Amino acid sequence: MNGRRTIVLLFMACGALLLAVAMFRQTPRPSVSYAVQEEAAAPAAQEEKTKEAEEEEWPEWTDPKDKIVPIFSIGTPGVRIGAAQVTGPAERVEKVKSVVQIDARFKKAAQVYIYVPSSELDGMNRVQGVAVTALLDYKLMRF
Amino acid sequence: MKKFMLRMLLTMLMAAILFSGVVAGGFFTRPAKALDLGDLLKLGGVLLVVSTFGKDINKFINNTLGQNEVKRVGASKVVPIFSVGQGAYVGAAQVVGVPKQVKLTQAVAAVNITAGNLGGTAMFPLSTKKPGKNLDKVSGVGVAAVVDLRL
Repeated sequence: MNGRRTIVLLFMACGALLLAVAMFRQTPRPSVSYAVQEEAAAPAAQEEKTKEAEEEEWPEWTDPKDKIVPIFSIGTPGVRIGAAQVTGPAERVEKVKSVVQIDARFKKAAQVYIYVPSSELDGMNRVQGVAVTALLDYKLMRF
Repeated sequence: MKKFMLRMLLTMLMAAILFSGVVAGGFFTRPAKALDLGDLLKLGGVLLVVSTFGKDINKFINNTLGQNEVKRVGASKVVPIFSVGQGAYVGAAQVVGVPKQVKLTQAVAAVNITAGNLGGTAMFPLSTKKPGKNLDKVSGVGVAAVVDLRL
């Protein structure tokens, strides 16, 4: 009984030691030079971040434009192909080459549609800020 | 904590309303029908869920579809959608576009038409929730995702 107790205690001590070593390695040792460095580095990093945010260029989101592009639909009803009208900021709409539609119907009780405007005809490279307003399609295949 | 509990309670209540709507709709389905109690409950439940949790649904869709830029610029929103054509549907739609116009959008009306293998859908983002009152179409806004239930 005593032997078992000793083994458990030894295991617990080993575990605590390992934990202490791991924690000691992760936390930087407090020293005056580190504290000074950290204080100096914090505002610099913040300034850099704000600079980056300012430098990022956002498109002109005030000028809406429409465009007709091919649409490829795949989902529960089958595969369809057609044309879709996309709308959004002019700069973004120009990039759109096609739309991929993913849809699912659940026994006519509910339906889910997702429209992904893409900058490629044969791939899916999403163009953000653009969406679909109308579409016309032809059913090619039924699942 | 209190706010969280209240939110949870509200969610459960809405789920119950929606579920009862679906069940009632299933029990009282007729071949040709006008809006019955089940439909009204479903309609009310969906509208309540969309208006209460619209922002959360929007965040979820943006995160799921990787629309990070739209999320940052604030050019997306979740609004109720009413679809007619192949049956009547009500649900939630994520509208995306010019931020100023997205703010104006209150609802989306959709019309689905099918003729043989040909199909068409037109979606109209509107600046009002009351159909027939003042159907002002909002330009520069489109639909990125739709989830809806049949009435």
